[in-house]
Amino acid sequence: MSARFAPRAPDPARAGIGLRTPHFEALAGRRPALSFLEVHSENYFADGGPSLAWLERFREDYAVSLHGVGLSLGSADPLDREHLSRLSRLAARIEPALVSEHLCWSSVGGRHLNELLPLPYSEEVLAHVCERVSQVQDMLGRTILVENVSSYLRFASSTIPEGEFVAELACRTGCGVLLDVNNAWVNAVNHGTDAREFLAAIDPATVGEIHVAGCETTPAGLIDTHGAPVFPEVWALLEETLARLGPVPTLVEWDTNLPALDVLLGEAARADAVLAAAAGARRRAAA
Amino acid sequence: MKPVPALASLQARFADAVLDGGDERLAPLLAGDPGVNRRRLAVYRDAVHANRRETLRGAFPVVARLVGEGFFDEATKGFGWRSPPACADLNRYGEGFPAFLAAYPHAAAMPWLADVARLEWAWQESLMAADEPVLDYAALTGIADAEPEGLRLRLHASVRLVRSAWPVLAIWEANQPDRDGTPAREEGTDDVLAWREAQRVRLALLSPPEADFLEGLGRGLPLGEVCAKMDGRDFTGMLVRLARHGMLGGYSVEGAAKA
Amino acid sequence: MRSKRLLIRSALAGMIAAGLGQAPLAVADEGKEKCYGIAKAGQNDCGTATHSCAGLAKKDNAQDEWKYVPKGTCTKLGGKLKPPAGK
Repeated sequence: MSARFAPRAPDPARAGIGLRTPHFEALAGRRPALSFLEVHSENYFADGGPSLAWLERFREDYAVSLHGVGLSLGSADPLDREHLSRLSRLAARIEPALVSEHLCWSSVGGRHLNELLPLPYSEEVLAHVCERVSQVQDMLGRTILVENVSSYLRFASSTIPEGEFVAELACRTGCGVLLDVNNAWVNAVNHGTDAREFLAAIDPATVGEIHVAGCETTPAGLIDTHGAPVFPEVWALLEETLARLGPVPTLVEWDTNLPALDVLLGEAARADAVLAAAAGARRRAAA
Repeated sequence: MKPVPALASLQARFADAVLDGGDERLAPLLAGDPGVNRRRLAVYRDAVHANRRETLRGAFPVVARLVGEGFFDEATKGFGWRSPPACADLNRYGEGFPAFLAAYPHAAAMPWLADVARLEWAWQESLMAADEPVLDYAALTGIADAEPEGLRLRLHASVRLVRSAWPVLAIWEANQPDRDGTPAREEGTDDVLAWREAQRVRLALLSPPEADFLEGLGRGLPLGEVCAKMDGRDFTGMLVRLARHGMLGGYSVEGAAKA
Repeated sequence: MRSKRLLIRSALAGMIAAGLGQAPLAVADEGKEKCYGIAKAGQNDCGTATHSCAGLAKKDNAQDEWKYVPKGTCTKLGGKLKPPAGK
């Protein structure tokens, strides 16, 4: 009998991609070199079936990131214990390298909107979210990464800039930051703020993962659709960010209008090049 | 958890504005230009509905194809108001959609539509049912010899039966992606068996006695009772078929359950 | 009674033989059989706001009547699938 299966860790010099069902067969057949595969945790909450069987197969070849979309970390409701225990069971089964959630809310008063909704950034809300992130980390027995989201509305009661809010959350709870560079840019354009100011507020040591994705220009502003190639402005921001942070596991997100696997791998290769440049610059600076 | 009344009230107003329309009570809480905010609130409204609609399209692709885009958009909107998602995992959303369609006045001219939806939901349930080992046939040998009439066979978690007064399987097959929607049959009262085998969902048509027999097994009746639903040869054939395709998950004798 | 017991016994013998000959649960071998899809198509996505639809109109608003006319493949279903006349 072979030794116990050892879960894989992401290779920070390479990009990862989101694992989506239409790509299962092509990925399994070709097994391209990727740092990691990221899935939406909720899509694997069932007690059985093909999706879970595929994921168990993929975890033998790739590091896995469980990215949750439903925990409603910022809700005024009590934490959803059932949701959390399903996540906990999945994490025990898959042994992911990374577990992440969003800095947002998606349900209140028992009503489920199933969407990543924005929070006001105030001291009261910061204390609330910190308490809940700590509860989640205690229940899962591990630190999680928390991602900044795209938002289309802001609140009059917000008193703390988003970057400071995220940095303070990481500082107080020990959670990591999943830095979504596209979301930072979307918010900056939509709200007339400065993406670089947001990114500069984040302590590099707390960043455990980076996301880039494509969005869409509309009369209402930039919409984070995850349905298009990454914008040039976002690639430029990624270059700056990685130059400051050094290589960090970076994911290309693509959820709607899913292209052929090759298109997605092409985007990942472009992120690989940015990661390699950042690593090279670091080595030169150290020499 | 310390209560956060200001946040609870803000989120309740946000949810009202997104789900029920109107932004009078939310607008004063927002920063920025009111006109822009109104357009952006609509982005969230669109997203909430589109997430529900696309989730339902994933679970009910044949219904979506049968009724077309505009009808499906309206029907899923109506269903969302009547039965909004009860949890954060949208993969479990849609259980009540067949019943909604059965009572939907705009679908009255398509009386078979709700049954097509029932078949699609059975497919989904079968797909997501728990993995479980198949029945331990070796252990069953002795029991089968001694007390066969009292033996109760338990169906595998993925087995579902849909009984319809319409040719639902023919409609379903005609609306798979590679087909043009013309059914091979226009007649039939289809009893359709769904189960998962080697991680694929499979569908098969049953005869009415076979469906009665399977319903009996599902209700936990002993073999001594369910065998009367079919003649001898069909009875053996059905048990062999269930075994060959991994549709049996366990058994029990006189209250002593086995796996 | 005796014949019923014999019938069940012989049916079970056939079932057990079929069951013992069965392969264990596994990820499907690709290409061996015609399948009906392998995974759920509609899934939780990651805050992927779409704005292609008309949005969630206010509940009490009049809806677009034209949308209630089905325009899909239901038109390909034959005459026998229509509800009885006069109903």
